[in-house]
Amino acid sequence: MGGRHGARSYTPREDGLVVVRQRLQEYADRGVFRGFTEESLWRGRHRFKFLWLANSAFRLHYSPKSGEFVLRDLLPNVPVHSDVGKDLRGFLKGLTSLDVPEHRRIDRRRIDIRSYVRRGDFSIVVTAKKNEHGYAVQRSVNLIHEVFVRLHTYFPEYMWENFDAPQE
Amino acid sequence: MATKKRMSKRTKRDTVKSRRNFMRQAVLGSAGATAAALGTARVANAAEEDVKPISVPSEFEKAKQATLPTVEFPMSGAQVFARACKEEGVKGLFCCPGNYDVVHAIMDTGIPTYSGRHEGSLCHAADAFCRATGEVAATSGTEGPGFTDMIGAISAANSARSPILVLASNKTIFAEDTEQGIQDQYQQPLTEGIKKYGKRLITPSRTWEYAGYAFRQLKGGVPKPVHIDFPAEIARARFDDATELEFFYDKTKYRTETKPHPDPKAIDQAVQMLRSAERPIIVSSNGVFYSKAWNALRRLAERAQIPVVESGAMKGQFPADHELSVDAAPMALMSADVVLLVGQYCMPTLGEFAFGPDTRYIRIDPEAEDIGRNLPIDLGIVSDERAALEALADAMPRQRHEAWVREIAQARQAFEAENEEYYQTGLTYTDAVHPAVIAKELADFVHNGEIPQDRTTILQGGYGIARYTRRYLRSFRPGQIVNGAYQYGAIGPDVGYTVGVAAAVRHGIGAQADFQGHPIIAVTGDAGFGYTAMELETLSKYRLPAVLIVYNNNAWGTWSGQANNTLGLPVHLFQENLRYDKLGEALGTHGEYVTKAAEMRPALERAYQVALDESRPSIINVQAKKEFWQRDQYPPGFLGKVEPGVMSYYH
Repeated sequence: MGGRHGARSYTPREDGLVVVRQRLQEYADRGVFRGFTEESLWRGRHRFKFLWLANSAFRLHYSPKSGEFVLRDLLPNVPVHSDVGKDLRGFLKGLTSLDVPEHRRIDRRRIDIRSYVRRGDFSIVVTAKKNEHGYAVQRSVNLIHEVFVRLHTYFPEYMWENFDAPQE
Repeated sequence: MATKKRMSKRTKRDTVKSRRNFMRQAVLGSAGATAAALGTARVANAAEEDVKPISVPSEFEKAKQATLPTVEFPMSGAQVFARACKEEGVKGLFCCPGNYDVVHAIMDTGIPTYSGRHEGSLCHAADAFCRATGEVAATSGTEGPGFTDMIGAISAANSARSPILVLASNKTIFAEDTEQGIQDQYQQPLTEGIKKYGKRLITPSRTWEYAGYAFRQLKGGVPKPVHIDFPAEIARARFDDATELEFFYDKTKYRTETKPHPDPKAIDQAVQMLRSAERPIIVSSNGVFYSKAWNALRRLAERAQIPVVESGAMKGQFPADHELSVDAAPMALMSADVVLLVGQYCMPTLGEFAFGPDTRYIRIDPEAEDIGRNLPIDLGIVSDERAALEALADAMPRQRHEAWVREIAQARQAFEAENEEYYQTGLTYTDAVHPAVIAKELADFVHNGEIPQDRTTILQGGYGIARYTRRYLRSFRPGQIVNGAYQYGAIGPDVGYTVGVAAAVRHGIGAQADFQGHPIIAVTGDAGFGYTAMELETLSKYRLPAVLIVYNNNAWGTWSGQANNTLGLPVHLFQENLRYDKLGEALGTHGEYVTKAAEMRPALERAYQVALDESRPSIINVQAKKEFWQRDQYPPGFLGKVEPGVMSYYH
């Protein structure tokens, strides 16, 4: 996993936001997102909200300058040392493995991934290297999906309790 | 091994499809006739010599010898409707006493009829019969309480898109609203939202006409329940000749067998999407089964090397051992870039299927009104499933997706390795039988032993146990697996479903034609078993050769969520170590009680042998423990699921 990067050695191109906005808008246009909004925050940051796999919107914070994408508070109630937390950290780490099919593998030459837990909420940070903002946002969206599939597969009770998934 | 040799013996089939034979089967299936006459089942203790044995009444034998009556004008309303049922090919009737005129009129046509202990259970039986055969089944209950007993089962059939014909008596139109006598109720509103069509018949001369309304719905488009009420003025109406009936003509005049065919432009678009895909998948569901499109499905899949995954209320349209089957490769699903959904009537919302956000969708469905619901489409094709698959198979160029097939093979290998790991872990728990052990032993017995892997039809029910059995059981031909509760999620239909599946196989109806007379296997949990357990007696009295496995963990599946709730926990618990096998024996079945892993396979072999030799049902009560759902104490604990594929049952 990559670490937090306060400053990167590269200079993001100005079209990073355009690319990210366009990629996310495509998901919305295709009906993958049931709802989609964008907000401009301070220091040039942007927040995209989209309704998709849950009844409340996911939040993707994007900094064009640093190339950082934060899936903020993606999962509630995931204490650092919980089984779910440990599993997800291992899962994210494993996504760079050669055992993962190439089209799903995280290309570490293009992005870094890390996660953190704050007040029990699990967040994922994807940081684009060079100017890979399009790849980074596409992987970020896919990561949400893959994390949810994993939770449905191995932690059904977590999904009942936190996302109102059926128990049967 | 002697036991295995005996097990490979084929049960005797009825080869003569005479009218009398139909009636014989209606009353007591062919394989059960001999065993029934023997009356060999005894209540628990053989030492109780003064206790009379459980036996099938002699009336069953007399009924099977009886000839079918010739029914011509003058006919009653019930007889008119029954004739329509016969001419429309209704293949079975599942009922309890009540609605006598209609039930007996249908029996008089030779339609196989099964009567049980609870209208709801028998309605479930009709549902399962449809899911196993692909044909229409009728179910009947008496007015008021008998009918309302069926509501849950009609709901389940509605969610499963089963073409059941729900028939109910309805006292008289004359006495409407009076509460004269008993069981007065206006019933049609009770099936609002859980039927495709419904009618309380009120004009006797339109009885045949309304049969046409019913069968247009049952035989066209997406199937769902049709509910017809018969007030006495209808059922007992007398018609001296055909001029007293409206629209009394052949079915070819009131409905068509033609199906909607796809727009050629849409087929061209679909071909373009599939050709450009690197990792396409076909999802085969209910519609492929009901349109009997499995040959076209296979032709398309093999021609363009497109893998297939199944979902739906029944499985087996595509063989699980085919290299293109993704059924047991769940982790490959996320890689699909184009998905062709065929006959997926119960459509999941995004995220309920494991396909990723970049996946593009083509959906084939016979009804335009449903295309685009829940799941955004990139291309919709309104068509009968078989017509569309044949058109696609004709239009698609030969293609190869070798890398994709290799990825699926690796995912399948990983899934099987995980299953083996669960099994080996389960074997280490020695104080009760772990669900992975039950599932693996069962799968080995029906798929990897002496029995041909495609022979045994399986009713796959239960709650927590189903999370395991689904991972191990496979389907190799259409109708091999009936998918338990399905989207409605009812806990408890399973013994009722078992009656329907066993009847379907006994008579070799529809998709079960090549497997007529063979024993079936059913799986349920102890909570669900409680709802419909009395239908063990139905299985027994008709000598239906079913082996029912009950996963007995002394608790509702919901208990684990309340494990730390001292006050509330008893709501979720039963008495421990209940002897459901003894209950079965008391109702005429063979019983087995399994408390150790090593006992599972021998118990299965004995029960199967009873089914072969005596055409008698068995119950295998497998003693587990509720704590197996606790992942921290007994890994892997309660399992999750991925849809579509072997684990799917919501959609």
